Amino acid sequence: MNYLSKDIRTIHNAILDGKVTPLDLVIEAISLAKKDNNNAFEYICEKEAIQKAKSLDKNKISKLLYGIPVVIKDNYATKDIPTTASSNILNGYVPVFSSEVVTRLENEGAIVIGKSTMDELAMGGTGTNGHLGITYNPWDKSHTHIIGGSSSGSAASVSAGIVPFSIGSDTGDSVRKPASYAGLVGLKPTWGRISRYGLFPFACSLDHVAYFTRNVFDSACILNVLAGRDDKDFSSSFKEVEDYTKQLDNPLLGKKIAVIKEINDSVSSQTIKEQFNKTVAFLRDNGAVVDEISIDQKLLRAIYSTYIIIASAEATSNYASLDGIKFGNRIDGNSYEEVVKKTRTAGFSAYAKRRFVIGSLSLLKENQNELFLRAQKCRRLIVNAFNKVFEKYDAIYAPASPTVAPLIKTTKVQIDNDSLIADNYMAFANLGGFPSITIPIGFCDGLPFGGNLTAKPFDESNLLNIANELEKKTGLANIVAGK
Amino acid sequence: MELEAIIGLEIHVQLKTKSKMFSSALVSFGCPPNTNVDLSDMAFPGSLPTVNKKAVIYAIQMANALHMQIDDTLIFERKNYFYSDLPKGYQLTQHYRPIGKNGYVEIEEDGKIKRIGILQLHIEEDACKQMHLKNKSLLDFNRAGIPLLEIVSLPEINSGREAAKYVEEIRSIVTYLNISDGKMEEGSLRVDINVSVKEKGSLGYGTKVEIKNLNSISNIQKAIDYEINRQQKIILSNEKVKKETRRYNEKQKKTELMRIKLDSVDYKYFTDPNIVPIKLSEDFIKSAIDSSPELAKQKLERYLSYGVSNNDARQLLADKDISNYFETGMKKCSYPKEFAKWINQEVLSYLNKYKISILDFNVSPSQLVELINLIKNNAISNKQAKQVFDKMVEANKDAKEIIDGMGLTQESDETELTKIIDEILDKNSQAITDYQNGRDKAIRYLIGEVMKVTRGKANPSLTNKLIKERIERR
Amino acid sequence: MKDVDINTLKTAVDRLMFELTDEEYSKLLEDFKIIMEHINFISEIDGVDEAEPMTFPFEVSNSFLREDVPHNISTTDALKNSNDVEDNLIVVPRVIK
Repeated sequence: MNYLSKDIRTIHNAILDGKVTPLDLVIEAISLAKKDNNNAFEYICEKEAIQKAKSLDKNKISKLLYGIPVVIKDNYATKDIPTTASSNILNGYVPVFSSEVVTRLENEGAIVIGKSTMDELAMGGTGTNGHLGITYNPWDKSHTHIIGGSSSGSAASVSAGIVPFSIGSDTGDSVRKPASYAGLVGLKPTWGRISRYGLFPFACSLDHVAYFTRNVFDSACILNVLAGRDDKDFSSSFKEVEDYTKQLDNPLLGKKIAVIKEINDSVSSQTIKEQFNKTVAFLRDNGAVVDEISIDQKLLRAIYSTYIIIASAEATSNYASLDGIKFGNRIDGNSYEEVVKKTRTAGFSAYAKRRFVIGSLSLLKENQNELFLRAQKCRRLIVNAFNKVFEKYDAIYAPASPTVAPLIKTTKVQIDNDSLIADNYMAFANLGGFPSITIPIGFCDGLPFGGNLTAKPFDESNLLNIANELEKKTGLANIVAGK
Repeated sequence: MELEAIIGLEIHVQLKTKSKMFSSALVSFGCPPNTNVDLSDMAFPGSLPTVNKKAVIYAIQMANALHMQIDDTLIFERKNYFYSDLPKGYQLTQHYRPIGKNGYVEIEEDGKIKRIGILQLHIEEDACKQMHLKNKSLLDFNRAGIPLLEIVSLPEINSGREAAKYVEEIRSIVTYLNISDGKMEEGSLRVDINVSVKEKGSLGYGTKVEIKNLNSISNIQKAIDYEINRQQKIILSNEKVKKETRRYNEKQKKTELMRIKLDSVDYKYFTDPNIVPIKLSEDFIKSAIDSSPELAKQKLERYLSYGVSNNDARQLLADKDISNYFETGMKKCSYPKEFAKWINQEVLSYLNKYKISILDFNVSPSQLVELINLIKNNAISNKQAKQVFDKMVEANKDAKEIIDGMGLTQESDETELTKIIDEILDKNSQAITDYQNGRDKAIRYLIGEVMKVTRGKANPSLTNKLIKERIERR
Repeated sequence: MKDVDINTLKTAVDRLMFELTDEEYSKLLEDFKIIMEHINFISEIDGVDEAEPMTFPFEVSNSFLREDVPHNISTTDALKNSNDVEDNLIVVPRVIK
């Protein structure tokens, strides 16, 4: 029996019952990973994972993640395992330490079986700009659709049934968007809820540890493991960690949920619109009050603008350390300057370089007021507007993408110039650090799409509760491509 | 045309914390290369900055000593530029919110006090050490990330001498606070100077010239004086001073061009998003201040109150190790004035002669105090004491032992002593009355008289006993 | 802000320590036009210039500071990812500037 396409609880019970061992699971996951034809893997940790499966501490068998295979996005430092963030400049880099996230998972008995492909350095939302090329959507055997990014390989590995959960990162919507295209649950908790120690910084004020599961319960369980203060991360929160599974089944009676007219109006797919409205009706059936509200369209349109300027500026600075001197793929030259220039010229994609230039220009003294600082000002106005909504509502609910996964041939690796609100609004949760979750809500032409719920900071329990109740109604838990 | 020089100083002080500013790596000097590093010193992706509590405490103590407003929130900025000694591609510093603002120090010249304003004090991190060889450079990251305090003065200094006094004062403060070695020659205190010359009384500034790479306070003074003179000559010959960076050439005693300043580099400052604002509670700031070691200025007042002369007190304080020596001795010493004088004269001349530090001096403070006590009790004369001192240093023995060995034995013949005492008592009826009225001082005076007559050879305790007996008999 | 011309871009690229081809420069100019459109979207928002810039996602502060207790990684770990090391020092060709 293939357990890897099941939910975590089912696999856990099979281990407890002795029906399957961690070693069986790891061997199977690795064999599936090797057969993967979606380009989901940067590196398969065959030796390391089998060794770990053999040496697991049996006293930990009661832990939910004991023996559960997991895939980690390639922008998390993993000790002794190559980590490139899908960028040529990091070819050959082997970290000497592990991310806090990986350490916490391994302490619970989870076994890292692979590192996943991504858009280079987490910049981009298509899964087509990593140094290994395009990552495909397992729902589409013909390989004509993207899976989205930047956490493309992490999404593909769960949706293809290789592992029951995977770690990604979310700076604009890099987990929540691919979750929509891959039929997965993608959770990005509050900024500071999970330590970023070991996560390669792209835009630290927007970066979030985030992850994919096949259902909301698993998502809550993983949060129980990952959430909590880490003294190594000075942005890590001291807020008490809850048992996030506890309130999952609370009735929705009395919950107030806002849907935003301007976002819905910009959804192009009629199927998605209709299905979304159906799920709104589910929420109402369960006793929630769902109101349609309005947010200034200009403000919504400026979410992406604000995001792209802040993210590019922070990225320019964060990736200045990639010079080939201390680590990474150095290219020789006759002087220090020449070495760094050659290394960076060869090491970054054209897209990454353009983002760096834009980020850099927006930070220059002569431009900073008009570009970077203005974006930071706009960030406040956007966040204020959403906080105002959260004064009255438990959550905001909207389609997670305006369409199903787009075609590869129409996908461009470029800064978006259209300001389609429904395609870009989810970054508001990064600007404001709000916890935000995507869950599958329907299919169109055989491809899944999701709905997105967002709540106020540190209100994960409430958010997961609403998502879980909605999931019960949609019946779209634990869907796997091709099954 | 009368010209005046306007000088501003930027001083970087390396803090002697145990670990680095934003990483846990050890702070230590002279270690093998790349032994004292942590993840973020190598800029490994995913490593994060953590703020050193001790360094913050030191910064607060410094800000307090400079009479500054102390910010209760710590925020750091990134100063972005590419250079081989900068592992992350940016330096963490405090660009917008320095921990200290608007302070001053006082310097004294010709008996007049001048206040030099200090614009700001901020926390930042050091870069890595480079060794440039013929066709390659070598990088050692041990220094990368060591905490630095940068102290930016207002342009209120007008001469090389004032600048030297200002740096001397800052150096004294950091060494007495025990937050830095403050050694220019070793780079734990670094000074960058901006010098410009303009018409006296005119508004605005002349062209600023920066002087770097100064390794001693006396060179600061020489470099500035040379530079002022150079710029004056240029201005007086109706030419323009160029905006440039110069260095001081010690051999030729002049400043020389390092590089012409082109457009200033744009550092693209922005707030570091990894360190959320750190609130320093009132209690935290207060306890940092309360635990500040005493500054030279405060010690000076204390020494003066002991009766130490102004000159001696200042001389003791010029070197923190010497003032420490003095204070250790003071725990057992009842003669501060003499003790201080003895240190400044005999001890210092010995140290200077052999060019050693007081830390390597083999006569302990309490041994020296014992010698002073012997002098004060008239057990030996000053002249004898100097001989004894020389032997103490040479033989590493206590004063008493040496006195015995040198045959400076005391007069202990009771009959002989009684005779002398009676003669002295005959001449000092007032002292006798004083003693009878309960003044112990009188006895000490009489003992002193006996010592004079015996040239210090009388046994003090026997003398004491006999004087009392002879007075009773009268 | 001033219009971005090719020289501004070239200076910026040079300071970022990489090179672009002519084709990449024209793409960059395009991107920059797009960014300026985004800036216009932002500028249209009422009160944007009066707002306080926001670095962190929400009002947040801590009072935690790291204790001054040293801990090093090994020299081997520090250097094993650099591909030019001699006597435990990282080697780079001579620094010009």
